[in-house]
Parts: sequence; structure tokens; C-alpha cells
Amino acid sequence: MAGVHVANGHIRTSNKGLVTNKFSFAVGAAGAVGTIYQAAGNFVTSVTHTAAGIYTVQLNKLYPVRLIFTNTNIATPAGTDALIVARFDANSYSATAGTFIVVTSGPQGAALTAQVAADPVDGSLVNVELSYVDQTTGIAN
Amino acid sequence: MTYPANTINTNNSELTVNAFHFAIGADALTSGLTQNHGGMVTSVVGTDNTGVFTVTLAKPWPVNMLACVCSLASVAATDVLGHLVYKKDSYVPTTGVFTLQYRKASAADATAAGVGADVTTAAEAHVIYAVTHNYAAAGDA
Repeated sequence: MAGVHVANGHIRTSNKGLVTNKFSFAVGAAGAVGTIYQAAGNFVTSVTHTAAGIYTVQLNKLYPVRLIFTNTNIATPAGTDALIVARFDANSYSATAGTFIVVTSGPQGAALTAQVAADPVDGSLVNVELSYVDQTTGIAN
Repeated sequence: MTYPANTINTNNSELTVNAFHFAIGADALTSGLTQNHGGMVTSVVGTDNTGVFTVTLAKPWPVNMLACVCSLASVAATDVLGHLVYKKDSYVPTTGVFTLQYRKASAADATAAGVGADVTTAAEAHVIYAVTHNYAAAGDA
């Protein structure tokens, strides 16, 4: 039998597994942060609108050691709203401070690829999904 | 077989979810597998200026690739807007290899074979995937 069978009295966990979590935050006029929506446990302490198109997220302790996968998107009040995209700021996560940055931007001029920092439309919801690990001991990378 | 009561049974046949991310350097060449949870990825190779990234998983190679979601983290809000996608049917279980493709968002480039040169240098590609190993044939059913 190739399977691994563990008796009920011997459950062992090393916290090395990948954990996936997600949260959302509402955006009001002029990019102001509204309600943060998250599951019980208060994974996120705060989201701060630090500049146009810049949102700094503060996680709650214990801070994950590494963020491995991030995915962001914006839900808008109407399909006709301006196209604003949200992206994780590469290398922004600080494992010692528990912070990272989400940037939002919109197209500039005729070329869709040219972006300029822009706040989401009033009434939008910014959705963030994270996969992370809590420790590095005993596992590659 | 009949599993004993009050035990946790795992037969390694179930879904495995893992994630990794890699940095993108000049000319859309990879510049480092910066997060590789569990060491499940052997390498990621970018093909010069094509937007094609070849990923090789570590052995034992999964039998099936069930889902693969990609996200591009940016360096700044003004970075070029593009998408990284899993190439349909690209996973080969006998070599553990699959392909990711970069696409720009502009209408003119939407059908291009690849425009990897425009991926912002130092951007991060985040990937999460689900596979099955299916060891049941070894007698684990």
C-alpha cells in the first residue's frame, strides 16, 4: 500500500503547507479606503491609501515568511466604468513589517499598454488573493 | 481496502496545489526562480523576446495539470499592462514541462505570437497550479 495512514493520536503539522487567503476592500471617493472584508481571524489589520493608485496593506501578526502567489482584481459598480487594474507591487512584501503594496492604474492615451497611476472608481471593490507560507525551515526555498 | 476508524487517511492520489514565482529580466528572459515552495519547480526558462516561458516541474511528474493561474506583479503603476497565461494543453506528464505565454493588452498585439520584450524588467510572474499525481495504480486504491 502506497498510502500514508496516520492514527488519530498522531496528527503532526509543520505549518509548511501553502496557505491561501483573500480579502477585499471598498474604495470610495478620491480613492479613500472603506470597509475591509475578510474572514474571521482578521488577516488584514489595515489598508492605507498612501498616494494616487497606491494602497499599502498591513497584515496582522504572525506575518507570513513569504508570499508566493498574489492575484488582484477590481469589481466595479457598473460595466461602463473606467478600466482600472490592480497589481501587486513586485518585491514589496516585507516579512518583518507584514506590509505590501497594491498599485492601481488605468490606460493612458490611445495605447492600452501605457498606464498611469489612478484610483479605482468610487464604489469599487479591490479583491486580493494571497498564497503564502509561514516558515522556511526544512523546506526548499 | 478498508481504512480503520478514527484515522486520517491519505493516499497521495488527491489534488496538490502549489505556487511559485519568478523574476523577469531584460528581453523577457527569466532572472531567477525567487519563490519555489517545496522545490517543486526545477527551472523556468524565458525565450528571448518571445514572451514564452518554459516551466519544468521536479520529479515525480504529476499525471494531470488541472488548473494553472498566472498573475503579473508590477514594479510601478505605470508599467506596461499585459497578461501571463497558461498555454492550453501544454503540460507533458512524461517530461514535467508546461508553457506560459505573455500577452500585451493592446488591440494591435492581442493576436501576436508573443511580445515578451515588453514585459517590464524586474516584474514578477506569480503562478499557482493544481495537479494530481494519481499513485492509485501502485496499489493504493
